Amino acid sequence: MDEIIHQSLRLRIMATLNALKPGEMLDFTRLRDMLAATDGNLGAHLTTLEKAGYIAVDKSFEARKPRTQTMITEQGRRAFAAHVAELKALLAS
Amino acid sequence: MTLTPSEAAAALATIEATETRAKQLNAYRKGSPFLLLWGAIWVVGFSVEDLAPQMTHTAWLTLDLIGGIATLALVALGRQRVNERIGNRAAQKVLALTAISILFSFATFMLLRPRNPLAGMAFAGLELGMIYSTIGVFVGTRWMITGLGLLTLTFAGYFSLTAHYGLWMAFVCGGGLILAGLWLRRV
Repeated sequence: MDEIIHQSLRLRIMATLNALKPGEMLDFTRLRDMLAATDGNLGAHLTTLEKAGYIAVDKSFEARKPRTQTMITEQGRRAFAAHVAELKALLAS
Repeated sequence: MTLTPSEAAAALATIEATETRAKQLNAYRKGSPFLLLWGAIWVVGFSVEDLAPQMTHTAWLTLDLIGGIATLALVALGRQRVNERIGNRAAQKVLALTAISILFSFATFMLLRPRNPLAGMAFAGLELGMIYSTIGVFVGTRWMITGLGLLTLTFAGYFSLTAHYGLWMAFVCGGGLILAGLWLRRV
């Protein structure tokens, strides 16, 4: 069982990003609002997922305003799929 | 780390609910620019039709051309954000829906020949309301509410107003589309 993914907010982060099309990125603020999380809490969990290689975070500037976007990586999709498969197997056993 | 079957079931339910909501909100957000665009076009077009009816055909021809080009630009912009194969499929769907809508309008006008200009105005609201309601069946409730709202407002104005139906279509229905477009962007 992937403990990095299974934490409550990280599980929902991964599920949200996994629902996007490949290559599609999601703004930090929108992700925060979708998950009803705080900036600090979300930022910490995104850092954990990024270190694991499950997501990619892109920081840029738009009209001089900082903009953070994130997307799930291929490694992240595989890890998430594997985690879901394990959960289903546990349910079936 | 070991989980009980009930914990696994809860996690799977969370995943499904989260993914479903994410897909729906994402689809809403992608549709928002189109509502904002055509809402603005309706505000201008129906206003002209009501206040300067002699310019109706020129105005709608120009506005539809602008709207068509802007729609293609929005679709192209959407393609840039995802990989090309998926973007192409989405673009094809939007273009197909637009083409079907135009053909349907043309065929209906040829067959039924609306008896007065007001019926022609109302037809636009009915057609778009029908399209959005149908999209809502597959994509989500907000589209359905937008479509049904448009149908209702179109009918309400048509059967209750004695004058300036064009301004009703412009500001109530066109303005309604703009508000709906803003609503679709919200989480």
